Amino acid sequence: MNAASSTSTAERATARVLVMPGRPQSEPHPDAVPASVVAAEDLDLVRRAVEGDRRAMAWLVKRVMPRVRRIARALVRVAADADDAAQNALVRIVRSLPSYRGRSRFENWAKRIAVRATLRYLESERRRRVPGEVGQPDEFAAESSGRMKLREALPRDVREYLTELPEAQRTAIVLRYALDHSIEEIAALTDVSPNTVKGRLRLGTKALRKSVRREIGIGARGQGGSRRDGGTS
Amino acid sequence: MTGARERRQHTRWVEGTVKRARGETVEASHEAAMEAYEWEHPDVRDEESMWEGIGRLGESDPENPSMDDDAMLAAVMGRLDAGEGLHEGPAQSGVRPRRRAGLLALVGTVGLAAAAAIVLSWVGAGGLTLIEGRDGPRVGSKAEMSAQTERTSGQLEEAEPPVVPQRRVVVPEQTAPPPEAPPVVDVEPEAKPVSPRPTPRGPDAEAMLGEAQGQLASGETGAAIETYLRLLRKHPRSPQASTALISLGRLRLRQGRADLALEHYDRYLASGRTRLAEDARYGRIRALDALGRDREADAAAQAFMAHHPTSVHAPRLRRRLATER
Repeated sequence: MNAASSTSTAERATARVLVMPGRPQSEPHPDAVPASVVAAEDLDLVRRAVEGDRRAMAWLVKRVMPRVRRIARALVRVAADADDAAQNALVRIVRSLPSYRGRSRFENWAKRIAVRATLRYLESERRRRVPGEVGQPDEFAAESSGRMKLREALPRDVREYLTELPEAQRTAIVLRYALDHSIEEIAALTDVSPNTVKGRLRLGTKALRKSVRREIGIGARGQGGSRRDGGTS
Repeated sequence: MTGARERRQHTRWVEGTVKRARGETVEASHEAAMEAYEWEHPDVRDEESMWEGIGRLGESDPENPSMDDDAMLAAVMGRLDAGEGLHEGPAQSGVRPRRRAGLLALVGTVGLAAAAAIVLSWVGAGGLTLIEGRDGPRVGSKAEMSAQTERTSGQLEEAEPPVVPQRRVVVPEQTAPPPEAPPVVDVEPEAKPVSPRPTPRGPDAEAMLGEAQGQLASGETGAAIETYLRLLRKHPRSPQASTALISLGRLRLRQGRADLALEHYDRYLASGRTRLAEDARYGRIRALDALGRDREADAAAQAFMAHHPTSVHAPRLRRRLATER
């Protein structure tokens, strides 16, 4: 609360700093470094890490860590498990450094490895469970947090809706909409055809829409009126 | 056919909704398509919260604390040390990843201590010289890397906690004004460039903008806001500052802080800049709507139409203004 209000105060103050220039300014896009240059620098860092330069290694790990953690958090719900998955993925990335050829940005290359490693982590956790064992939470099931209930319009935690989907559909939805992967990337990451991914997305989306609309409809009726007419009927 | 078309439109709407939820930029044409879809299918609003939640799945959850980045870096390096390195065999972890509740409880103390110990040992051995700030390193140029390497026994960076490295920049930092005392024009001294580059402030402002965008892409919305604000403080007259204002407006709108969003949009428009004026004026309408200031919102919509009659938002605003009359 205090932090938020202090940020707001600072925000108000700093926003005033922008001055009137009195003349139009050209505003070049900030992404001015050519990708090839970045890739060459990436390659140099990777080479140094592969040769045993620990600083380069730590640097690379730290650089991709936010993205890797985002992937783990999106795919694995329980925070401790997401941390485990992220660690595994980071170790996997470092172990794979010798195969980096600089054909894409280092972050994109690492992201692919992180997704694969996280999916493998989930698979191994599933196998680790005793068949028929009860009481083991789904890795994806929501912890007791109300955070994902962004608005009252959503009756349940968003992860609960996702948990009801078949795993393949859930993975496709998360990769597509939480992690911004293209259909082709998802196909490559999950070893299926793009058409299969499209089908999973279509079915998963349909099921999610149906589920949330049904519950919201029930909630609206339960409150004695339609949401859409504002309950005036 | 209609079903396939509707599906495509819905998919596009979902893509825009998840982007908005993360505070990312949605192109004006995309926003217009989304609004048209909502106009035709008002029921889709029922799904909005769910898709926003899905879009933000990767963000950290303050209610479920996890290991901090420094502790994770130390743990990963520890595992690599313990035999999971580049040229080693399969995992023989000395720092096992499985921690569950026990480790979570220790993260704040042992984790940090381990992080400090491990990383300080690297510093002692050669100095961990990361270029960037607290939220993740950026790619250093070869020159920067070389310069850092030459300082491996260094007495400068090594004095700083390596796991929370301070920004080292090519251009000297300016003194940021305290937030409580809003600076006026030119209150900050011009930076004297070390390099002969013609735009001394440019690279650092660009780096900060890139840092903020990277944080957004990583789901670190709070950190991104801080970085944008830092950019405004340090480079108030840079072109990137105006971009930051628009981004802050969007982020604050998403956070439900329409009052702050409105201020950012107003600052942009007061600056006299034009490149993002359409975004700023449209953002004003949304902010005023959110604040319930209907008459001002209508006036803002009229102003928008006067300035941007051919905008992709124009048809919808025209309808809106027509119904108001």
